Order: sequence, then structure tokens, then C-alpha cells
Amino acid sequence: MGLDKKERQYKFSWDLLGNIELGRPNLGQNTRLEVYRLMQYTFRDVLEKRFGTEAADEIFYEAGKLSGQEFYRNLIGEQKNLDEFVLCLQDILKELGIGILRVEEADMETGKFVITISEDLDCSGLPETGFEICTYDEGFISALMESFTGKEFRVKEIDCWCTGDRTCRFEAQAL
Amino acid sequence: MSEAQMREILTPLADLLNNPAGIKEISPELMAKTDFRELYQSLAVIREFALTLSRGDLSTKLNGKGFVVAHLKALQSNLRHLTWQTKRIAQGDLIQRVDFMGDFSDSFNSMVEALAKTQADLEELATTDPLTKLENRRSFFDKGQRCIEQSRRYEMPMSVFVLDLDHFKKINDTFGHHGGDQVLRSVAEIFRTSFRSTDVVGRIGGEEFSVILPEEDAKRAQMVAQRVMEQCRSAEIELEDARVVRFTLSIGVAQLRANDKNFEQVVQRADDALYAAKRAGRNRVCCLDE
Repeated sequence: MGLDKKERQYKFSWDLLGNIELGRPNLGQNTRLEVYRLMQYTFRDVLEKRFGTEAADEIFYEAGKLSGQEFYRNLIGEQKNLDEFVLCLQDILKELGIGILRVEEADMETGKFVITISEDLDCSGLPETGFEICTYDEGFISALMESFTGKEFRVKEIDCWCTGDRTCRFEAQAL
Repeated sequence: MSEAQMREILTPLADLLNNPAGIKEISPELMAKTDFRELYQSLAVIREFALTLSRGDLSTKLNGKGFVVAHLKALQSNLRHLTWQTKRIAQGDLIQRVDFMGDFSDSFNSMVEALAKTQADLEELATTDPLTKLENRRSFFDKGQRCIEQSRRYEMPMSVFVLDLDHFKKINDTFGHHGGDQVLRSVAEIFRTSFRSTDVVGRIGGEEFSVILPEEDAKRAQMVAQRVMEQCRSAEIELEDARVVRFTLSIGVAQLRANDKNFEQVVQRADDALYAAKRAGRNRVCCLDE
């Protein structure tokens, strides 16, 4: 059950990411990727145990979406056209070590996009589990697409490192 | 396992990899063995995919798993991305660069950079006056129309100058056309430093220039015109042969009116004001929009 706004302690804001320069004068921005994955997959474990696989995936999709909205607002900003949006996103995802973005298909009229992320932060190098695991990325990408186009999007991962592929492929469709 | 049994297993697999004619019949007993069937089917999928890929078909979906399949899919994905990038370039997006295809990337990127440079050169040729490097007439009038739209959208004034060098024919007769060209280039240089970066300066005729001053009404514009006119009057242009040229300007000023249908009408009024300045004795600013 959702909490009233008054009861919430952890409502997200970009400020919650903190002043890293001040807080980590010696260690700085970097941490090892395992630490990020450790947190993500232990969260996923507990959420799945408590709420089931489907609900855990939904939570990750929703969290990814919130993250994508904030990411767009704080790090990307308004973009003039698709080319600049893609270029800006490619640069920033690479710079932050999130992944290497490539576009296979982009149809602004039908709202269909196929994009790939190689060396993905969430999954590249994971064991082959046989199912697509990047639900957080799905939500993240949907929010980026929505922020750029102003339309609602549904994103589904169709290839994933965890299904034996070497690059994650996502289909995004405007609703 | 006997040699014959080994051959029975390996021959159809080798055919899949090596035989262009295709696959011979396989015994049902062999196909009934799960390990063999799975390997055989994987190789058959890879063979079919390699064939379609080699023919340039990037749309075929590769079903299957494993190291080779995954890398073939990655190759297909890269080629699809490259196709998308090429389409974008064809539509004029010259910021696309390839970074995942080895030597091909370097060649591709060099090609796009050359295209971008050619496009920039052509754009400069199409919009710039070759002598003064100011806007040419066509580009100046295009920008003028856009300035009007912007001015009306933000409800801001806008003024236009038409400037003409006084007795330019005499300068040409005295110093030759080469000297005259040098004077025009120097005048353009004075304009470049006298006007704001938001002003648009163009050469619209032989010794005739025009300037758009966004956000300036006629009163302010006349003050600017007066200053520029005085700057020109006090300028001394030294020619290559060390002779010095002094010159004066006449300037007509007009402000955009609500009933102006297009930019040409504003320029026409500034031109009328210019001729009024000429008739009044030259070396002066005139505005008919008081």
C-alpha cells in the first residue's frame, strides 16, 4: 500500500545524490562495478522473495523510469532534434560508464525505436540465466524516450547478455 | 566408435559448414540423438544466417544461443546501426561517427568529415559575399525576413540601414578597381567591429551595404548610424601601394512598421532615406520614419 506524501522519508530528489566532492575528497566519484551490481542484485533478491518475480520486475522498471526522468532533466536537458538527442545520450552514457548506445531503427512517425546497449552496466558479463534481466534499463530508456518525445513509451528488452547475446537490444514503442 | 560411425556423424556437420550444394539426407536414427540434433540445428541456423548476411539482408532474426550466434547477432546489430547512421547522414546529419568497425571506421569518419567541410564551404559560398565576407544579398534578405518574424513574435522594434559610399566611382577612378576593392574590404572590417554580433551586415550591391539592427527603434538606430558614419569619416585606409584613401558614407535608416508586408519594404524605405541623404549633400544620416 502506498504511503501518504507526509509519511514518506525517501521521496527521490537529485539532491539525494549528495555533494560527492565534499563527501569523498579522497575516494571521489569512482567505485567498482561489482558494488553497484551487489546492491542491485541483493535488492532484486529481497524484492523477489517478498513480492514475487513479476512484482520485482515491475518495481525495477518503475525505478528505472524514475531514474530516467531525473537523468534526462538533470544531465541531458532539452534537445533540438533526434540526432542531437542520440549523440548527447551516447556521449553521456559512455562518459558515465553506463554502456555503449547504438541505434538500429528510429521512426519518429510510428514511434518505433530499436536500440542496443553494449557493455551494459547492469548485465554484461553476468551468467546466462536464459531470461532478459535489464528491466531497470527498460524503465530508464522509456523515461528518456518520453522526456524527449513527450509521448508515453513501452520498452521491452529482446536480447540480453543473460540470454546468451553479447549486446542488449531494446524495442521501444510509443503508446 | 568405428571410423564409419564417426564419418556418419561428422559428414553432415561438415556439409553444413563446407558444402555449397547443401545437406545430404541424414539417417533418422542419427537425428533422433538429441545432442547431434541440437548441434546440427544450431549449425543449420548459423549457415542460413551467414548466407542472408552475406547477401546484405540485415532483417533476418537469428534465433539460437551460443558464442557464435551471439557474435553474429552483435555483428548484425553493428551493421544495422551503421545503416541507420548512413541514413541520418543522407538526411544531412553530419555529426555521425563510427567507432566500432576498425579501419572502416576511420575511412567512414574521414568521408563524413570531408562531406561536412564541403557542405560548410558550399554554405559559405552560397551565403557570403566573396570580396567582403559579409552576408551576400540573398542570405541578407533571408535573414531579414526571419528577423522580422522574430521581432513581431517578441514584440520588439527592429531597424534597418542602407549605407552607400559617397563618390565611390571617384575612388575607383583614382585608385583603380583593385584599390576600390581594398576600400570595400576595409569598410567591411570597420562594420564588423562597429556593429553588435546580433546585428546582420550584408553587401547588397557594388558599394551598397545594409544592416539589420534587431531590438533597436529608429531613434536609437540613428544614433548608431551617426557613430558609424563618423568612424568611417575619420578612417584612413592605407592601400598596398601606401597611398591613403579617405571616404564618407551616407546612411538611410528605417524602422519596421506594423503594416510592412515583408523585409523588402523596410529596405526600400531605408533606401529612400539614403537617397534623401544623398540629395541633402551626402555624408549624413537620414530617416523618414520620424
